[in-house]
Amino acid sequence: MTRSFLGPKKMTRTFPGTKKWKRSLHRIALAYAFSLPAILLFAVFKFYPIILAFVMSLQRFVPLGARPFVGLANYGAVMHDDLFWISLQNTSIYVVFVVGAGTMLSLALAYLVNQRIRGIKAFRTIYFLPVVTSLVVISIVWKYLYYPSPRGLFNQVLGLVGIPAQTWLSDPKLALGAIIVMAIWARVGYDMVIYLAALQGLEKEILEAASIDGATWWQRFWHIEFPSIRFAVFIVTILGVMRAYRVFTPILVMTNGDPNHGTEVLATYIYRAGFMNYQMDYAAAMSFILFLVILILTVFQLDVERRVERG
Amino acid sequence: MVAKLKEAKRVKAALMFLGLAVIAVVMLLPFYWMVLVSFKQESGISTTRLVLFDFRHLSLENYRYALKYFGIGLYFKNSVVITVIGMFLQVAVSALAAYPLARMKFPGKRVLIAAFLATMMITDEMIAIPLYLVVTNIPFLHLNLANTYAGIILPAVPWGFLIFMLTRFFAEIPKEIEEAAVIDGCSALGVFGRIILPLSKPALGSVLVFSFLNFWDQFLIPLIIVNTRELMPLTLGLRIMLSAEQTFYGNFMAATVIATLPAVIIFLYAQRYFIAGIAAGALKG
Repeated sequence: MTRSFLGPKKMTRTFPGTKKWKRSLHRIALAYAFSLPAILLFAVFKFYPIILAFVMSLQRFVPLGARPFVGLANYGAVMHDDLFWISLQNTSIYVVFVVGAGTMLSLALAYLVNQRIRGIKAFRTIYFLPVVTSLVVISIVWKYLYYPSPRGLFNQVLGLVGIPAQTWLSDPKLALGAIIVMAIWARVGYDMVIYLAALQGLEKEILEAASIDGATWWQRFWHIEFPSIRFAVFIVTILGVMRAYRVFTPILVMTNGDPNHGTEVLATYIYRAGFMNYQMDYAAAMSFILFLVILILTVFQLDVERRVERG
Repeated sequence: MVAKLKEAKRVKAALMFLGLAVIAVVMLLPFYWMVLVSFKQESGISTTRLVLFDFRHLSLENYRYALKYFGIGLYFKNSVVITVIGMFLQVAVSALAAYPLARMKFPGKRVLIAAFLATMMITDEMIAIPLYLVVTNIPFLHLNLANTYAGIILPAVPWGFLIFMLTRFFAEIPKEIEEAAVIDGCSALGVFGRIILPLSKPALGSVLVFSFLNFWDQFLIPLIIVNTRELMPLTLGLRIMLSAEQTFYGNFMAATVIATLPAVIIFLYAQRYFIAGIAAGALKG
């Protein structure tokens, strides 16, 4: 993907002083002039902060005070912090289920809406609706759907089939799962659109030929359709893992990490440590660990994709 | 034989439709509930009757309350200001950066592309703390942008994904058109403004839509940058309402409906740009 996108590496050489050289200098200046606003904004609001996060994580940070370097002391403290491990575990559970189940469900949805049925466009629109709804709004609405008394919609529905009311978001066994279900619901339409585009790129003739040759549904899927949408699956999972590991908004709005840190994730713990307890150095160390986790997972996924591509 | 096949096909289609409809109900249920409750008086929410089919006690009272006591109008105005300015700034900055990446050869290009792409892994959650320090004291300029629109908007403008998408779109425009313009004496800025941009209207539509959602949904950055109600966007305003104990279902749902409507309307209006943009951003290449 990136190789073809980056274009050929070779550049023609020009010699100083010539007209051609002057023209190429002009061209270079022009290119950077166009990119300058972006370069400045990326430098100030992306690269500088991530470097600062790393530097802060090596310091003892007292607001307005001196900042002595303490080496890896903050990281050592993080490693001995049970709550950090609980947050990492919760985040990882969240990622596995949201990305795993989400990927499969959205693929199934894409198959369903790839039919020629009257009104299919309306279904696509409906499935996509949560994607354009603010995550804060979704979290608030679902928080009320999960309302613990029999007034909550889910409890009302359960009541119809004779299941007693649950406490959902305050039940340590159910809280994280309840948020995972909401997250899948909120996102499935987005991934569906990616799969749908990949499926529509498939040659109809090949599929028809396979059907005539007597291929079963599964053979058709595994040997013909899946290889063609493999790249889409890769993109959906890599974006999904990146997105899911940083989950913040729904947790903060729905449970604030409760019950008893049962839904505490890395991002909420970092936020709490940095902005509620003012342990900015400690929070910076955790931020950097989160960065490393995502970096390693992304590199790993790229590597897997490359290997599969080579066969 | 043919009739049987047709019959089987019809049954399959009917089952498919049933499946689609069931999923549609699941997807729509929270929205339906939200809208219905937003019109219900608090006393009208029964504990014994299923809210979904209970149409008694409907009124506009909740909307009046949301506008008057929540001050949702103020949050709404802030969200609109942040989104409109942020969107155009972001698309302008991204398009300017994408143009040379797509159409020119220059040293450092690959590094630049790699750097922009790499930032997709640096998310706000990771840099929240240093970002707060940067925004309160912008390097070299020593400006404090806490509690300003600029402080909310600027950190969200750099977005590698948009530059990536625009670069791909721009790269597809045939070279000949550009060369003809240069021969006619068009400057680089002229080529960009008069040739590239008008030819990329669908792409710009997709990018604007992504940018819109990005700013309309902004949560973490305003959360750490703003602590005065005067500048809060809807997302923060809603969260504050949530923490106010005495608020009722209905009031709240009226507020969320107000917060959701603009995005849904824009989506229904510009749906093809969403779909094309997502598909192209993920798969082309």
